[in-house]
Amino acid sequence: MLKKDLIELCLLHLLSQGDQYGYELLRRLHDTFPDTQESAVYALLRGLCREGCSEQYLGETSDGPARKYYHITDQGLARYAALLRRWQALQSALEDLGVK
Amino acid sequence: MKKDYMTRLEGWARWMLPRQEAEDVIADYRDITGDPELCRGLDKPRHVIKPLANKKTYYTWLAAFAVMALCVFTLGISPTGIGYLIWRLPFFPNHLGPVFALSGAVLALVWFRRKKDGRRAPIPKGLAVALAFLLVWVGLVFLFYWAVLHDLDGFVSMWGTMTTFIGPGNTVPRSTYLIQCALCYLPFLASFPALYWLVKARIHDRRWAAAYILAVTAILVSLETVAELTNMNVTAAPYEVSLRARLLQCAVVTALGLTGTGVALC
Repeated sequence: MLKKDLIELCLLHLLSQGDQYGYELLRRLHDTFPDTQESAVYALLRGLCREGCSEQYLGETSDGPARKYYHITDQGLARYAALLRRWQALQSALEDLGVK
Repeated sequence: MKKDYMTRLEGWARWMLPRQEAEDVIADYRDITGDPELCRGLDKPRHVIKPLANKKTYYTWLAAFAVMALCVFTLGISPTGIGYLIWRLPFFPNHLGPVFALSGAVLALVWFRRKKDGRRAPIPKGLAVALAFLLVWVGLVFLFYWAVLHDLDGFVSMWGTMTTFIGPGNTVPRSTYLIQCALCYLPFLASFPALYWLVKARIHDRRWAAAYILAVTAILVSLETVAELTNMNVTAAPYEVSLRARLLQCAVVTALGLTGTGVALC
């Protein structure tokens, strides 16, 4: 599992918890992957959009201008489940080796 | 810094991405650049946008841009020595000029056509100025036709004669010589802003394509006129007849160009 897949997994995980706007997603992932360029994370986010795993809509905010929110689709949920399974398999394989 | 970064990012996004996607990315980055921590490690705008671009879509745009640029530049350089060397066709506009002009204009019309959800905004001031300049240019060409057909002798003697390396006694009427020079070099000079207007149509407002279309029209009308002025065909019809035929040709080109300009502005 590549780092790219891990970031995708994190993006889909965050989106599965609720709709979020781009900055919010990048801000949260920046703390988890501080050495990764924001543009790389953003490219993955847009890639998910292009592949139909997420979609964008203009959401209302109580203060300030309207923002574009990302929403996970059914295809995105399926991808999330698949990536999660791969991650769990990798995790258990590492644990079997004694890596903790 | 933020403003400068966003200006460059907006430029790259609108150049490399389809319009809607570019606007989504710009909206996201307006938020991102507001965060001092994320802002510190920001990649160069070009590096941010490049991985987002769909190669096929982007290269299709580049190909369309290259064709439109080729159309206007081929016309622009045709009356110069370079154009002659490239094409080896004297009075080249008589042969292929309309084909290049029509190809460029139609491609610009199709590429920058109005989308269904397109919002209407006031016409940019720069675009209005560009269109006014081009209209004056085309108008002056028609004024030239009127002046020559109305009183050829008066027009020829209007500004006296000037010394050149051609003509009887190495002198030519200054009025026709200067007009011929203007109609040769204006198309060449105008091909550069025409290209810039194409870039503006992609990055700022698709209606800048109207300026490109009108520029192509003005260039073609000028080249058709130069072709007439430099016609050395001894079997050609008398000048009143051939000039009237050319005037009609220019009127048709102008009518088509103005229609295209109008459609591009809608």
